[in-house]
Amino acid sequence: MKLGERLRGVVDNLSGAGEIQRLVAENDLLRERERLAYVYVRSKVNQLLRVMGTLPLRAEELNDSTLLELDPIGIIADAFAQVLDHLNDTNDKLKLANDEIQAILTAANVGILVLDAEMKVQAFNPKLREMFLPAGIDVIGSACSEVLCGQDIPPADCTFAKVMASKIGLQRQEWALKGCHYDVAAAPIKNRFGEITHAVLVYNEVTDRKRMMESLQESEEMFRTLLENSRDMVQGVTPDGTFLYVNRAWRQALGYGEDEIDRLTIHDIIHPDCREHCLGFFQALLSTGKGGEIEAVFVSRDGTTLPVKGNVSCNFRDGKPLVTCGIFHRADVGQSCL
Amino acid sequence: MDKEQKTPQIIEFDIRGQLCPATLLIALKELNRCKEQLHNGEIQLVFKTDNRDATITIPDAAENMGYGVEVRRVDNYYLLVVEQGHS
Repeated sequence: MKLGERLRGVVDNLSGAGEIQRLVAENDLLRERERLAYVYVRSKVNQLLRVMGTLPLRAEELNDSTLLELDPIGIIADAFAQVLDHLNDTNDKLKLANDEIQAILTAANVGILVLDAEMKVQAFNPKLREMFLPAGIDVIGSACSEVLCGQDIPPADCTFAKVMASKIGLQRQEWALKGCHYDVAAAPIKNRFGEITHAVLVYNEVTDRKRMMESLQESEEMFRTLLENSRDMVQGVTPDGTFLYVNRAWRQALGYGEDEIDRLTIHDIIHPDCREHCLGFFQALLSTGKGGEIEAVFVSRDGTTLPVKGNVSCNFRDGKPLVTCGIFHRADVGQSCL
Repeated sequence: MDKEQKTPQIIEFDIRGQLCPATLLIALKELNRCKEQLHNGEIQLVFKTDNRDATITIPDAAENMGYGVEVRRVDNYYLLVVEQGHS
């Protein structure tokens, strides 16, 4: 530095002009820092307001001094704290609900399968694995048709496809797969736009029930054939006296057609002279259940009398008479109650 | 036996003439200030506003905070009723 400049510096320091210059510069720097700080605060406030789903602050709405006074960051931070509390509370409730659903799924004695809209397996309960899935193989994300039906393309009568097409829940009786039978209930899960996102299918195995029903039907058919071909007259009469069943020998002996039986009662076929005896026996049978042999005279459709002898019993359910069963054969006139 | 339900006290704020985001900030400030009483069902906050945006932003924010909100149209303004959320 030259001597002249050094001397000027000494003179300026002595007069205070240098200090003023330094303070002015420092003041400008602080102003700029404050401006940048307000810009930053506004940008962060606007960022938070956008998160809250509203518009950014306008400068004319809130000047810099009222910005600090109102403390929007503090307001939104406190609001977020409440949102977080509420989310935590909701999460706790959802976890409890999820645990309850898992417990129900585990305890359920029906197979439950959840598919997404693409027919991919999303969840299932232990019973469903027991019914359809090989143990230890992960099928989450696999196509339902491959996992259950064992084919790439869903079958024509696919329950899932029906739910997706109809967009409503449905029930299906006795769906058959690999020799077993299932009652299937299916329901769609929709989003707020009404689009199906998932479908829940519930499988209840009814193979044993179906086989039992078939066995019962076969048994009933066999007994019906036996009764129809019997030479004895067989009748089933309800407590109110109407006929539940009569066999072919009965219809032929009394001359009634099958379509006329529904309109008949026991009173129509008992001879008036025999009615008191027979109806007394009938009432005693209903009240005591004590059956046995009986002689009677029936009247056929054309008025012909038909002395009969037979055996009558009564079936009860819950202590109440259900139906009386009678098996009769023609008797000699001397054997009847006339 | 159920607890006896007291009728909540209604505290009303007339913020007509205010626009977003000021309406939301005012509402949030009150929701923060009164959160205990709101959660306990002791009070209801009722905001009168003529700003249509506020009928969306305030209910959305309040519901996210766990409160129940009802919006009613009254003549040429709206009533936003904020109360204890339904569990």
